[in-house]
Amino acid sequence: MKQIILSSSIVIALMMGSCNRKVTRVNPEKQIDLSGRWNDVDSRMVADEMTKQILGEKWLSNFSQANSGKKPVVICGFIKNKSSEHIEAETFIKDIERAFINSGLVTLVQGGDKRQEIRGERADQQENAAQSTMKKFGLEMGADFMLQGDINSIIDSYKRDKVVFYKINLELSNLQTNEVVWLGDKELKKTVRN
Amino acid sequence: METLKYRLKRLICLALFSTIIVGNKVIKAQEDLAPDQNPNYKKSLEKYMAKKDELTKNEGTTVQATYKAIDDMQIRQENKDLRKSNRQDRRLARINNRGYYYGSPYYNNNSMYYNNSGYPYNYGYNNYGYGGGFGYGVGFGYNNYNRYQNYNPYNNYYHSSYGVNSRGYSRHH
Repeated sequence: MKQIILSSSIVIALMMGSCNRKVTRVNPEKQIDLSGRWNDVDSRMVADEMTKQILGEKWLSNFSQANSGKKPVVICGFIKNKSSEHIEAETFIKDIERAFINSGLVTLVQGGDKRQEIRGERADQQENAAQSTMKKFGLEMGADFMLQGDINSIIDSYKRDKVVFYKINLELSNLQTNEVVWLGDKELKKTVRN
Repeated sequence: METLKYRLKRLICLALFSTIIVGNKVIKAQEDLAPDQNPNYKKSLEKYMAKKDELTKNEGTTVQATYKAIDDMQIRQENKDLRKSNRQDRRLARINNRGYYYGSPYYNNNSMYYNNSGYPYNYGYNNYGYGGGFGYGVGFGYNNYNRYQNYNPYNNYYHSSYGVNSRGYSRHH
């Protein structure tokens, strides 16, 4: 009797456990919209559009011509999120940076916390590394341009319907002259019915 | 005249000497620099030498910079847990502070209407009728009413469900 109760309780527990949660791996490219908030599909659309724009505009050829074929050096500044949601811009900024490197047209330099860490490691080498392998201060590559941007959103809702509009702006400025050499934008509009 | 000549010679010698020293230093500094190296690199070097340990301590680890995503189910569950926890706290508080009237929220030691420690004044029938305002030093300190209450069972009849009853009789009676 005890065995029957025990086995039946195990079976019930297993059944309940399997009924509660189901996880399935899907293709990351697959479009899945649940809540209507910012998601991976939006990020990918922005990355694709911005990459196409930034690598296809005149600023690249203009810089190369003015500097005897030199590749421009770009550093990424901050992206200001002025929308009503938590949006991680790094997801599409990294896609753009990858496109820079893979295209071979732009040189990218590190900024922010990661640069701080690199400098910290270089400082550590001054005391601990062999002289032949020690890296020097004052030989970093200076950027020619800085990439900055902002994210804006407008939400309009009535009863069960909601319209969300996102506008993502990215701009590239010349660090020497402050000249804005490229402006890119991507607009996204979604309707959500609750 | 000779003194003037001597002074002039001395001045010229000094000037030459200092020029040589400064020149040597400049040449030495230029020799130290790698081609195209920033001449102010030492400033940066000093700055980062001072905080290198801080900057390299996270190497090889994962710095957690997470955020709490919006998850309706999770929010619902958290609210449910919170309500449960609050209910439990209320039950415990009620058991611990059981007063004259079992389960009355106004008749325990922590009630804001009676004898609590954080309330500087005693309202209601504490100040009325029984000399609470005089006999037991009501108005300052705390637990004045509690002592009074313990001595006087008559309080039971003057209990108000709202606690504040300046006339001294209850809404129930």
